[in-house]
Amino acid sequence: MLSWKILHRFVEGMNHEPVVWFEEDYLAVRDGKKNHTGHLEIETHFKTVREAIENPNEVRQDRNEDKRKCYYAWFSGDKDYSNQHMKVVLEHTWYGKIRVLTAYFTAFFPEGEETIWNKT
Amino acid sequence: MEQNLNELKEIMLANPNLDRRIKSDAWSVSYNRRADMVLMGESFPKGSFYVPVEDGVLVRIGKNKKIYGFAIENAKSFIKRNPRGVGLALSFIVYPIRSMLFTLPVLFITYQAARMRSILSVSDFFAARTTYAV
Repeated sequence: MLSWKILHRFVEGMNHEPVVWFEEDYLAVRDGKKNHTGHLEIETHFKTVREAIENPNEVRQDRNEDKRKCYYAWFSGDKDYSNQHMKVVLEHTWYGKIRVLTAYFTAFFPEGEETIWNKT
Repeated sequence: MEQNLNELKEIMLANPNLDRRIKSDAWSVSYNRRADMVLMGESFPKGSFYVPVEDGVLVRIGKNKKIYGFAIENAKSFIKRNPRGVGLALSFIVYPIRSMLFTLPVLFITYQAARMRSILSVSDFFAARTTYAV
């Protein structure tokens, strides 16, 4: 059964629209499934996730899905992770909300994503 | 672009026994429906991160470039773009019910064919016996 409990709220940095992260979406990304660890970085580096959404360096259009946009923040590294991008994928839903789909550290930008906004 | 390719080459070279590891570590595959993302591999340890490969395919590596798994973003559209090969194999993970609807008739036909073959073999056996008897 779908859970609509909102775990985190943000205001995205490009158009200043509200964004939600549903608890079930968050847990699915963090915990993965049986025999998998998901993306632990969303918990250990939640501040960087928030920064990517609220104060991104760059926003890119997803290459396949019009409703999905990728928000990037540069992370300068720590004892666990080297310097790289935090990528957060946001989706405009049919019921009018913008929700977080997934988030993770990535070494560089993938090909095919078009930059639609950047901080400079 | 060139830098990305070099990075991917280095990752490949750092994992010469990947095939063996996939089998020995019993890598698993799962579909995160809510994020539309297929994950495969072993547990992703702290410090691991993704490197984009191509067309939504990502490889999860650690600091030592050891590969811990793979992921496919926008899995549904990936399957649409690659209806054969990898896409077909992934469709069983992404669309388990639809796949069941596909596999059940195949199993049914296989079962019917096997049943028919068994009937025919008994029939052949009978025919051979009767011919021999005559």
